[in-house]
Formats: sequence, structure tokens, C-alpha cells
Amino acid sequence: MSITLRVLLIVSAAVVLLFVVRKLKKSQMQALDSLFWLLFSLSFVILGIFPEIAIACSALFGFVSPSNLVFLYVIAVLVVRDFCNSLRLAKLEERLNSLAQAVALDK
Amino acid sequence: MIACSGSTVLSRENGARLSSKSNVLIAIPAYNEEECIEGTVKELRSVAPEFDFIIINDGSRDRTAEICDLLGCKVITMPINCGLTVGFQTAARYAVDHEYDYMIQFDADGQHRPEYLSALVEKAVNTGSDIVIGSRFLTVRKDKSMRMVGSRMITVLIKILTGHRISDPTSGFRLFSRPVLERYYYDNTLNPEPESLALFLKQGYSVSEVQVSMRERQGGESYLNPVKSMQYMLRVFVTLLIVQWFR
Repeated sequence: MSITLRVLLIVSAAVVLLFVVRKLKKSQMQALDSLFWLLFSLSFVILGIFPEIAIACSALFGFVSPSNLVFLYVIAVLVVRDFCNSLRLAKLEERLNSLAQAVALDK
Repeated sequence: MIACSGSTVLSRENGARLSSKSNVLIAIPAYNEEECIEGTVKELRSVAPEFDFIIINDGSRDRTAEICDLLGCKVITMPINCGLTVGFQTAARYAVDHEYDYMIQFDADGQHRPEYLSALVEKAVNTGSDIVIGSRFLTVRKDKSMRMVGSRMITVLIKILTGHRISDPTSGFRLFSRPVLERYYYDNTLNPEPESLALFLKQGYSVSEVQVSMRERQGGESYLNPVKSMQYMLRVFVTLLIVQWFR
């Protein structure tokens, strides 16, 4: 795992932390959502500081390079997150529609 | 029927706004409470007729709205189910808009006893507290059930974070004074739950407690199943431990 990737992981974790704290300060983020981002950025820091974890795992699963494993990890987490978000979005849309109907029908 | 005895009791919820003497609003969030709401309203009217009350019908799909209509209660109707927090916030806005000094959160399911309402108000008036909690455990020990383990953990955590002991942080029987209600008016991340109590304590608001006893719920179904309870605990802990530091 290259030193560039490790530094990049830690820097991006710091940036995520900064954004989350700012949004929390402005009361623009839910507590449980912030938990996800905080844990996710924490995992970046851990991967950046201890490259042995990625190296050991990539050897175990037969990856060509540990950085591939790091990329896969990030993509996989974000895909799951996106899936959850699309479920939430669908629910939100449904609620918005029933709200609009209630207003339209003046109930 | 018990109902309001007309001549002596003039209250805002009877439509006699200006002659009302009540500066206390009792807010009753109700979601599918057809089995309990009638008993709760009738008991309130007979035991504590001096207070105004309002029901927040949180998108119920059963006969809750119909029963409230029949009883002639003042009702805020949420067109969709928004959850306890939003219902509470709505009631807080109503209380501020209608210039009440205090609002008391009161369960529709019959767990809370109206005979303690005046004790909460008295405590608030006498001590000048911003929040008064109707506590089951101020003078009574908690039992050893899972629920109480959770409650204990929250008590300890709030004590560590704020230096104040709240014996019953999860009690839903709470009085909020106007300054606090105004905070709820403008900040929709605040909820009527332990984590917001801790935040208020940290910001210098005063919280006191009054010993009360509660009943089992008198019918219908509880909000909290095991999964929801776990989510609840997780949210309270995350907010207490992480979010508080950033606000």
C-alpha cells in the first residue's frame, strides 16, 4: 500500500470529520447519520495508520494489491449506503405524496 | 358522563379563550389510541379540569379522530404519521403561539395519572425550574429488568456529562416552561427525550423532578418493540456521547 494512499485516507477522514462537525453544529444532520460518517472516516484512519490490516486481508482473499481491497471496501460500503438511501427516498416520496393529497383534499 | 362542568370552568379548549385562567397546556400525542383516549380524556376532565389540553392526532388510522370529535376535544391533526418528536414539536409551537407558560407532555394510553399534574406545575412555579420530570424513581428504587438497566445507564451517562442526576430520564411525563418551548420552536433536532434533557442541562437550564406513580398502559399497543428499543438506546447513547460535544 503506497504512502500516498495512506496519507490520502487520513486526510479524507479529517475532511469528512470537519464536514460532519459543521453540519452537526448547524443542527442539519441526524445523530444516527453522523454516526455512520464518523465510523466510516474512523475506518479510513485505521486503514491509513495500520496498512498491515489491508495487506493481511488482501493476502487472505488473493487480491493483487492491498489498495484494490481498500477501493473495494469503500465502494461496497457506499453501494450499501446508496441502496439504503434509495429506500429512504422512496418512503419520503410516498409521504410527500400523501401529504400533498391531504392538503389538496383539505383533510 | 363527566365532561366539563360548564359554569365554573372556562377553558380555551371549550372555545372560551380570553376568559381562560389556565396558563398550562397539556399536550397528548396520540397514534392509534382508540382503546385508551376516551378514558384518558374523561379522567383529565374530572381530575384536572383547571388545565387546558390538546390532543395531537399523529396520523392515526383507527377511530382516534372520531372519538376525539365525539368528546369535543381540541385536536391538532397531523395528516401523516410523523412520530412522537414531531407531534411534540407541533404542540410546543401551539403552546408558544397561544402564550401558555407551561406545557406538560402526557400519554394518551393512561399510564400517566392526572392527579400529579398540579404537583409538576407547583414544582415549576416554586423552584423556577425550566423542566420538571414526573419521576417514578426519585424515592423508589428501580427494579432489575432490562428496561431499567437501560434507564440506569442513561442516568449515569447524564450524570457524567452534565453533573446532574436525573432519576427517570425516560419518563414521558414532563413539564416544559416557555423558554424551553421556544427552543423547540426553532430547533427541530431537539426531541422530548433524554439526550435533549442533557443538552438543556449543559446549556444551563434547570431540571427538577417530582415523584409520581404510573400505571401500566390501559390498552392498545406500545410504540416500543425490542428492535425499536435497541434503536432508541443506540440513538440516545450516540447523541449523548458524540453529538453533544459538537453543539
